[in-house]
Formats: sequence, structure tokens, C-alpha cells
Amino acid sequence: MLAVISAVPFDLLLIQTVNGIVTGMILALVASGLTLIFGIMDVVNFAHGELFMLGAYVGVIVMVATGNFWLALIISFLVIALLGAVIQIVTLRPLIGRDPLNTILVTFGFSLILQNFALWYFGPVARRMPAPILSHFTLFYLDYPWYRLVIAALSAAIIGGFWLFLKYSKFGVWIRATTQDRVMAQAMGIPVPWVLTGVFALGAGMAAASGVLFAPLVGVDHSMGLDWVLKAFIVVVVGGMGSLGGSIVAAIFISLLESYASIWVNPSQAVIVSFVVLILTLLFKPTGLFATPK
Amino acid sequence: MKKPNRHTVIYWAGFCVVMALLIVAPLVLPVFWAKFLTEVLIWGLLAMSSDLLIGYTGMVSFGHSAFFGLGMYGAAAALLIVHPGNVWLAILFGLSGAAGAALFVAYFSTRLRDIYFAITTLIFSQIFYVIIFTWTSVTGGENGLIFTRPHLTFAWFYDARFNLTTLHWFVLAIVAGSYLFLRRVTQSPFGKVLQSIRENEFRTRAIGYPVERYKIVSVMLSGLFAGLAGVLYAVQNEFAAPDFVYFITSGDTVIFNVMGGIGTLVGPIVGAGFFQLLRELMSRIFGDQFPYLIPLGFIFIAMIIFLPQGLLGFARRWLNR
Amino acid sequence: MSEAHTHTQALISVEGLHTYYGKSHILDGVSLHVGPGEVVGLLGRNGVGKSTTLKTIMGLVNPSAGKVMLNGTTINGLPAHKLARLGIAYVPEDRRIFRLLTVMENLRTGLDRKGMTEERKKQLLDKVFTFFPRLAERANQAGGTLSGGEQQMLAISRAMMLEPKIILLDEPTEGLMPRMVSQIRQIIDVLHRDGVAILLVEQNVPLTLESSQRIYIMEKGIVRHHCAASELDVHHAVIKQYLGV
Repeated sequence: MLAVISAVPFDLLLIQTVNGIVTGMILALVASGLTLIFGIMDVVNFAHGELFMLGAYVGVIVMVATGNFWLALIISFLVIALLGAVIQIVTLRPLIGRDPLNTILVTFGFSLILQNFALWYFGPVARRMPAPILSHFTLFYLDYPWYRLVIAALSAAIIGGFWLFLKYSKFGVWIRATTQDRVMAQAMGIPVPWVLTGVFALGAGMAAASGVLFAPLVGVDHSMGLDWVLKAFIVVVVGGMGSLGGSIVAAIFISLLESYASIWVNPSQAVIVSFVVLILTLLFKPTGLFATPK
Repeated sequence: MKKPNRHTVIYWAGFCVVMALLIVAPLVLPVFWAKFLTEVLIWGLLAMSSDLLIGYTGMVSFGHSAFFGLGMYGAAAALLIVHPGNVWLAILFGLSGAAGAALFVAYFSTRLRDIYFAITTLIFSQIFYVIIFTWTSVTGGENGLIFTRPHLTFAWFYDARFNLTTLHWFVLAIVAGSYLFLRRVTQSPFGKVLQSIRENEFRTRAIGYPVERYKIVSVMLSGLFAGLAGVLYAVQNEFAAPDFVYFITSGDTVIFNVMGGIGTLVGPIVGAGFFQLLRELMSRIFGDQFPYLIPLGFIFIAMIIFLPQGLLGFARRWLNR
Repeated sequence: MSEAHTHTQALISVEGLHTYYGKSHILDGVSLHVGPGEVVGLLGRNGVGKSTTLKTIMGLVNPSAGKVMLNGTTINGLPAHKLARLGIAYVPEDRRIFRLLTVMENLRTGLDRKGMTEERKKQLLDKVFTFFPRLAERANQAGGTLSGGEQQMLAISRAMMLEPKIILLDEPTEGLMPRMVSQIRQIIDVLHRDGVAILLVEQNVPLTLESSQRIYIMEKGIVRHHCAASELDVHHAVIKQYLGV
């Protein structure tokens, strides 16, 4: 085993580490939205991947219209957050108090609708989204794009900003109170139904932002959400459902492992790594490998 | 023997009428619709198997695409390895494949509950998908496997190709038989315990039932019948493809269940028919390219909110007596 | 026999409430009222429906029949968060403070309201901290780390943050040491002096009789006795009848 590892050139290892962290940060951003929604609303949002995908599409549209990447990011966040709010109000509110199974089914329904809508409206051909920063720097023998590091930094910033928001802002206190004791939060005048809508919208917005950030790395097409949602779910389970810190660590952990695995196998098989991690977690620590009480 | 009460008589009379219609169908319907009906029956079987888990044991599973897919590929294996293809061997191989997957899922079913279980089964069907998709040498990867339909053989005294009608009858016989078997199971003491687990697992366990064992058996049974559906599909269509192992198939199955009415066994079959019919109608009215899943998706969501018992759910108690 | 309770000057008025938990008929036609600034005691054995009455007033439980009125307006069916903003505060049995939030954050949930200036917020906080200096000391500690008595102080303070017209107090002295009980007694008096009405559910009869102006006694989901607190004392036959061991 050691022989195999030492046979890998150090620079390749480092590059894969960087790649793993970059993908991990985006995955963390996607997963945080999911964890947030699940932890606070007990809703498993199947449509999360589609919100990611639609976010990317909106980003592309804004980008084409204005040429400004950052504007694309912001507008996409807002538009998809609004979509999320509408979805929550129209379909999830009536289901409050019913068996949580129903929310899985409804969000699954939306996932189908949104995916097919994207296919129908945007067509099957993938769209390209130019990165906002095109320059590269030299990482060993590679021309490594700065943009990738920017993504990681931005994702970290968004997650960090979000954490601060949760901890210190008024709405953050409302969210935390609602999570702990929905009934007493209501009794304290906190408009719980709107808090829930807000949380869902926030989660949706975060998914959209991840989509826009990720778009320059791959082509934007209607099925890009599927793989991500699956991985995000794995991350959420491995990180401990409802644990924000846990999902972040899990996201990076899994992405790193996959990144290393792609040294030896091709990427579509490297996915197996995340499956293996999931199974091991379920076997030995079903509450989540990295669960922290948050 | 107990004197049959009015309910039983009506039920069986209804059953006979439906069966008669289904038997006669391929003889009177145009080819397209006859095939359509056969396929609805197969999806119905899949949905029925899922109902055992969802409707009776209360365990939502998105893993049925794995069972279905392995049944399909198992049959493919039998038909490709052994010449000439033997339909019973295909069934055997298919069931074994499905059983393997079921065992895997069953193990985890006892350690996880509710949403966690649902998500995990979903991830599992994806695991199987990835394995099948990438293990090209064995499974044909993206392209799947193609084979010829075996003959219908009964020991030594009958051996002939399937034609449209006999294939339909074969499928009908298996699906009807499965239905009767599953009905027997759900009405037996075993089935009653399953339903008790669905209502209140904690209390069932407290009373002293080994809930884990019941769950495992339930998953196994469910997986086997789903696999059987997969075999039938392979036999009917002469190919096996990874698309069916993708979790969307599980999703579709759950949709059939919800639309038809969970906990009725028959409901899911109706749900499957309803869904396929709507799809067919939409593509006829609006054209092939029409994204039929969009309005269907909305109908599905509306049904969950406003008609949670599904089309036949209101008859649940009646059907289960 | 239920008396007519359409007192238009009543702050809170409850008429003919029927509530079920599943098949159990918990409230069987409860009627009572609380005037502005009044302290009204609600006594009765365990399980007669006192807590359920409070919860129904607070909109946390939906009655199947009957009316709940605030200043003459029917408030049935309004969600709890609207009622909190209309001036009804609720301090439940077992306190239910937000355990993972700090003391300050717990208070903030009631403090951060529309129309609250920084000045007013500070005044409110000062008032509460003067009365409960222990809370000031623990301002940045998580609610779950406080002792039982301190949590009760926090629960009441939190309700006070809403500047309510009426506080629904459910068994505030349960499980508290005698020293704390007298503190509760004092805070009830302070609130009364400030013009806040209180509907007090209690098992502690002497405390209730001392603090309240009027008493209702419930049995099996219905009000059996209603009189001025001055008419009763611990040894009164009525007390023995409905609360006696």
C-alpha cells in the first residue's frame, strides 16, 4: 500500500488535494442548504439538485445579458430563493403536521417537474458559462486556474457569512428558537410559518449560488442536479443530519477521498468512494461520522 | 367451512369480472393497447411489491429500482448464458439477483428508520446503478444487454414461442398469482403485525414482537416480487438497461403507489395504469416532445395534498377485509 | 351551572370551550373571564384541564366549540404568534425556555419586536435584571445550564419582554424552593401593580389565594366554583371538596 502511495508523484497528490478541497467546498455549500432545511423544517428537499441546476441556468442567462458574473450570482440567489419560497408556501405549508413522508414525495414531484421544465425550456444542449477570472497560476506543472481557488474561498465565505447570520442576527435567533421549540417560538410572537418559508428560501438560494459558482467548471444542463443531490444527501447523512458543521467536514472529507481515488480509477467510478463511506458510516456510526450538536 | 358473507361474495365476483376482462383483452384490443396493458400489469406488479413495504409496513423505500433492475439483469444473464433460453431459469436467476439486493437493503432497514431509511435506499439504488453502468464487461454498461425472448415451456409437454396473447396471459397469470399471494400475506397474522408496525412501531416492539425480523421478511418479499416484475419486463422487451436501475424508477413506483392508494395492493396497479394512461394521452394530444412529466408532476403533488389516500385509498378498509 | 360571561370590560373571556385530545373530552364547556389588570387564580386537581384552558387561550390548542375573546373580539383560530403580538403571553408548565440559546437570546425573542426602540429595550431589560439579578449574571450562558428556579425566572422574564396585557402562568412554583416561591409571589405583585393581568394556574393554594382577586375552581373539564379570593381560605369546604387529598 505504501509503495502505491509513494509511487504517486507528490505534485499530483497536491493537485488532487486542491481539487478535492475546491469540490468539497461547493459540495459543502450545497449540503448546508439541505442540512438547514432538514434540520429546521424536517423536510427532505429532493428538489435541491434542481434548484442548484436552475440557479446555474439563471446565472448563465444573466451572464449572457450583462457579462457580469457577480450580478449573475446575486440575481440567481434571489430568483431561486423566491422560487423556493413559492414552492414552500404553496405545497409544503399545507403539509405541516402531516407525515414527513409526504414532504419527500412532494419535493420529489417538484424535482421531476423542474428537471423536465429545464429540459423543455432550455433544450438538451449544455450551456457554457465563462469564468469570471480567466487567469491561471502555475501549480507545479499545471496551469491551475485561479477561479477554482476563488470558488473555494467564496463558498467558505458564504457559509461563514451564513453562520454569522445564524448566530447574531435577529432572524438567526428566530431560526434557532424555532428549531428548538416551535411551539414556544410561536408563543413568543415569532411568526413561525414565515420563518420556515424563509429557511427554505435561504436553502434554495444557497443551492442556486452553488450552481452559479460551479457552472464555469462544467457545462450547464438539465441533469446536472441529479448527481449533486445524491452526493449532497450522502454528505448530509455522513455528516449527521441536521448538523451544519458535520456536513461541511463530511463534504470536504468525501471530496478529498474521491479526488485521490481518481488518480487510479476514472471519475465515474470514483463515485463509489462516497458510497463506501456512506455504508461504513451506517454500519458503525449511523448518527453521522462528524456530527456536532448545532 | 364458513358461510361466505356478502362482502366476500362481492369482492370475488368483482375479482372474477376484472380477470375475465383482462383475459379477453388481448383478443379484442388493437396491438398497441394490448401491449400497453401487459406493460401496465408489469409496472403494477412492481408497484404492488412496493406497497407491501410502504402501505403495509410503513417503510418508504426508493430502492425498488434496484430490485427491479437486478431481476431484469438476472433474467438477462440466464437468457444469455444458457441456450436455448429457459423462462423458468430466467425467473430463478432474476429472483436470486433481486434477493441479493433485498438482503442488502433488509439489513439496513433494521437499523434506520423513516426518512433515513428512505434516503439510504435511494442511495443504494444509485450504487447498483453505478455498478451496472460502469461494469461494462459484464453488464453491457450504458447500452445494456439484448437477448431473445425464451419459449414458454411447461416441462416436456409444451414448448412454443410466446405470441402477444400468450405472453399477456403469462404475465397476467403471474401478476394475478402474486396479487393473490400478497393478499393472503397481508391478511394473515403476519400481515397484521406488519400493519401494526406501520401504525406504531414502538408499541409493537413493546408488546414483544421481534420487529426486526418482520421488517426483514417484508423487505425480502417486497424485493422478490419487484425482481419478478423485472424478469417479466426483460422477457417482454428483450433487453435490460441501466436506466431502469436509476432511482427515478423507484420514484415512479412510489408515484404509482400514492396515486393509486397505498395499503390497498390493487390501488398501485390502478395507479400505474392511470399514470401510463395519462402519459399516453398527453403524448397523443400534445405530441411526442411534450414534457408530460410536468403536468403529471403537478397532478401528483396535488393528489398528495388534496387526495392523500389516492384513487382507491377510500376503499382501503373494504379491500383489505 | 355556567354563568353568563359576556363581560364587555373583560380582557380575556372564554365561553363554553370544548376541547378534545383524540377521543378524550378534556374541556367540557369552560367559561371564565379576566378583567384588565386582574389576577385571577385557576385551581383544581391534576388533569382537570387547567393547562389545556391556558393553551386554548394561547391558540396552541384548537377548541372544537366555544369562544375565546380578547377585549370583546373573538380570537379563536388565530395563530399563537399573532396572539403574542396582541398582548397575550404564555409561561408554560415546565418553563420551556430555549435551552441552546443564551439568556440574552431567550429574552431577545420577545424583545425584538416592531416598534421597540433601543431605549425601550434597555428599560425593559434593566427592569427584569433588577428584579432577577441572577439572570444578569448569567446573561451569556445557555439557558439549559440554568437551575430550575433560574429557568423559571427566565421564562417569566421572557414573557415580560412582550409587554403583555395578560400573562398566562402555568404552575410557576412547581418544583421550586420556598425562597423562590416567595420571589414568584413578589413578581406577581409587581406585575399586578404595573397593570398586567394574570391568569394563574397553581397547585399552591395559599399563594394563589393571597395573590388573586378572584378564583375559579375546575373539576373534570368544567368550572365548578367561582368567587372572590377573599371569600376563601385554605380550610374552606369548597377547597377541601375540589382539591382535598
